[in-house]
Amino acid sequence: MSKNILSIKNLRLKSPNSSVYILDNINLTLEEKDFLIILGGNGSGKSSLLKTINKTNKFFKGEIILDGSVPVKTASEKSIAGLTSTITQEINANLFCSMSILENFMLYNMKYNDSQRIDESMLKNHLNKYNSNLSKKINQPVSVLSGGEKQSLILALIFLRPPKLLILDEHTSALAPMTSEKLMKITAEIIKDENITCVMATHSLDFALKFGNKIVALKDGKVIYYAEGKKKQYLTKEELARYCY
Amino acid sequence: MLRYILIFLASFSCCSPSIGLSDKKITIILPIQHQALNDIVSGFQKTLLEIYKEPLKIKLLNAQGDYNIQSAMIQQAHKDKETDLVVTVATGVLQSAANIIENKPVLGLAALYSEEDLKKRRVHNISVVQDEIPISQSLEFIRSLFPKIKKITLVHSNMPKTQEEVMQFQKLAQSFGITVQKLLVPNLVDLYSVSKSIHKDSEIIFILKDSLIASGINTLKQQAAKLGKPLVTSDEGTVINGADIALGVVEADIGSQGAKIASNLLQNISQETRISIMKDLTVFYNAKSDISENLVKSIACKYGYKFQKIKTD
Amino acid sequence: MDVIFIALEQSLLLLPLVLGIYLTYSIIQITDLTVDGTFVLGAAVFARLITNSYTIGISMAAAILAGAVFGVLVSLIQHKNRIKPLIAGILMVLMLQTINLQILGRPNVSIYGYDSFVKKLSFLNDNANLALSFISALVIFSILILVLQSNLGLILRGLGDNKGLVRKLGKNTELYKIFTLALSNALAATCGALSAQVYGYTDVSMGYGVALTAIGAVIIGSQIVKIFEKKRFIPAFELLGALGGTYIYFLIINIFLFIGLDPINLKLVLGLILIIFLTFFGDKNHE
Repeated sequence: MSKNILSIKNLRLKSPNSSVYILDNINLTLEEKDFLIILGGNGSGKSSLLKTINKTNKFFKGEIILDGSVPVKTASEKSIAGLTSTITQEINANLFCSMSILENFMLYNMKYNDSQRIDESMLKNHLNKYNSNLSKKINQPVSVLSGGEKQSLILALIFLRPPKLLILDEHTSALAPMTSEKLMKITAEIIKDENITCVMATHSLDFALKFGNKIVALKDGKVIYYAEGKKKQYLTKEELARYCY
Repeated sequence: MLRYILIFLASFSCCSPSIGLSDKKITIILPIQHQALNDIVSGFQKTLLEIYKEPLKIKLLNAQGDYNIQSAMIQQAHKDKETDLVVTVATGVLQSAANIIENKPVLGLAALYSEEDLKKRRVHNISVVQDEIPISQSLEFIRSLFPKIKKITLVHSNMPKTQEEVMQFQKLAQSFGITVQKLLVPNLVDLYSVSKSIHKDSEIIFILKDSLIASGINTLKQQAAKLGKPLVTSDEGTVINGADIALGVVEADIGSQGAKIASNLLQNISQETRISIMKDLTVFYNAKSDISENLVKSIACKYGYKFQKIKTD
Repeated sequence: MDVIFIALEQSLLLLPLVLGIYLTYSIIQITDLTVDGTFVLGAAVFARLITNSYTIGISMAAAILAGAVFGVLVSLIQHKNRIKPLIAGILMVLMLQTINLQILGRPNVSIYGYDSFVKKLSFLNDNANLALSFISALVIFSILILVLQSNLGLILRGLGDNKGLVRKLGKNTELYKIFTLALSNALAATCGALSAQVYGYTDVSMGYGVALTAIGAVIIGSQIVKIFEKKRFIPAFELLGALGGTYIYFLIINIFLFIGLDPINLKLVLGLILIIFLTFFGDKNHE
């Protein structure tokens, strides 16, 4: 039986200055290699859920366990950082823009292993899997890259050492449609190749249908629909829209 | 871009106050803009031009309170082969110049430099004109004016030498049964709030020779007037700005005394004593003061002080 | 020619403080004005100890340590953004006015004739001050190049670029901030102690405005560096840039004095130059 990479029980998150629940009684489980899509409109709570999983939101009720045994509520930021990686639509939040691509890798590498040096030729090979332009610019500052190149770089950085749980918070939504599509495709391929467990928030029905083996829809902080496996596989767009919006 | 800025700025250059062709050159360095310091320099220049008959060039520099500028001035004077004498005004500048300059004479006006420091020097090139008024004379003067005085408020700053003088004053006053309320003013902006703490039973408000307090004399004057207490100070400038009376030294006289020493230095006449103390004291009397003019004149006469009546607006 | 060397001596003497400001202002992107106070603190501690018969080694070490301690304190005041760095620095300078006066005992203390590095180099006569400034600048320069080239330097640059990401990568950002502020203020205190030896005295008001001077020098220097670095970060160039900016500042002062510009105009002009640089080249991301 696969280990639960993510286990959420009776999760509740209150808004700081009112009695409104941003998340209300969420229960979810993710096993290894699961790819969960969280679908919902603006204000549904999908970003809040992801931010609670990676402990950006600290004051919640209920239980979130990572990797079978690490309770998010009491675990240190360092241990959460060791188990998860989050990519958001704020592209620059995951990059050191004034520093070079190589320097970004050196810093990310320190997350895992402070002493191991980065081999430049190995790095170029690694980068080519994500975007062939990147390997030509490894000594240039990240600020010169386009939005799509930056998101590709973020994927490359994160998959230097794939995390236990990859958290994607609408990471392609700030990009042009074609670039967004292309990046999502690369993301899905890497997730599959590296056997990553992933949870992804999106408001796109197309992405929700195309990717992932599990889907949960949120509205006003509550789960209103859940499907996995074949049930998810055979969902149509109309059905999804009806259930979820 | 830097090149254009430099050219633009060079157009601001003011001619230094040189006087035609010259044999000897003096560089005078002041630390800040202050009327008392300017008066010292005026007295110096006037007397020097009267007694030193050779052609002379005087370069006057004011560091405007900036240590970097002050340091640059001293360095340039040190390295300038044409400068024959460096004259500094106030203690800080003298100390800095004394530390750097050994290749030419340095004359400090209105500055402190101890005999001990003079003895330590490898090269004996420092001369000083001190403007200290002995504390005992200041207190004696106050007691003559106010024979029954029991309490004095002494307002002072953190300026050099002031701390020791304050302690001396308090100790001496106590020996005569006079209590001293000490009010420390760390910065000029604090003067107003500190002056609110003057004790009601204090009979006079007194300040030593203290340029920080002197620069805020108007504030102190207002408070003194409100409380109905005389304001006694230690320099001419403060009486011009409203204080009742001061026992002090005419700033220009400090400069004059310095000029006599400078003249000797320029003529390579050796100095017997390197530290000169101002002996001629003057009573500065504000014409608008409530203190009796005749009383003040008689006291000045008794101690052999000069008397100068100052008419203020 | 003299003007060139005078400016060089002054800039090398101030360089430790400027490099400290470079670390805070350019690397971790915090505006820390505490150096106005820790510069004097270093001078005060040195003066107090050397005039009480302590050796020059102990006096210097104590001065440097004092600067580091106050760097730690100002960082703790800012902990978790409770007080903004600029305000924290101003508050610390205010408090240090009292502390420095307490340490010195008087507003002005002469150290002429006491043991000092200048005295040890007195065989160089007029060049003793320049030699001292050069040696100290070289030592500090070398140490900082090593720091900036190391993983520590990389993390500090990352901290200035994206603090949140450094935290996400599992690093304790507060510790690194404390380290940098401690180092920066230790450098300021070192500069103060050395300046006291060159000037021959310590005065409680000698630090006024040094922070702004150093920030101006760093900004001017960073523009010079951009011409040579071509977008790569080269520690030696960066630090030389800081020296270059400092040197330009002192060169301007000395040239203006030499041509007879009244310093009352000089300060206005220097202020205008800094405004121009800060407006067009200053980093708007500073805290």
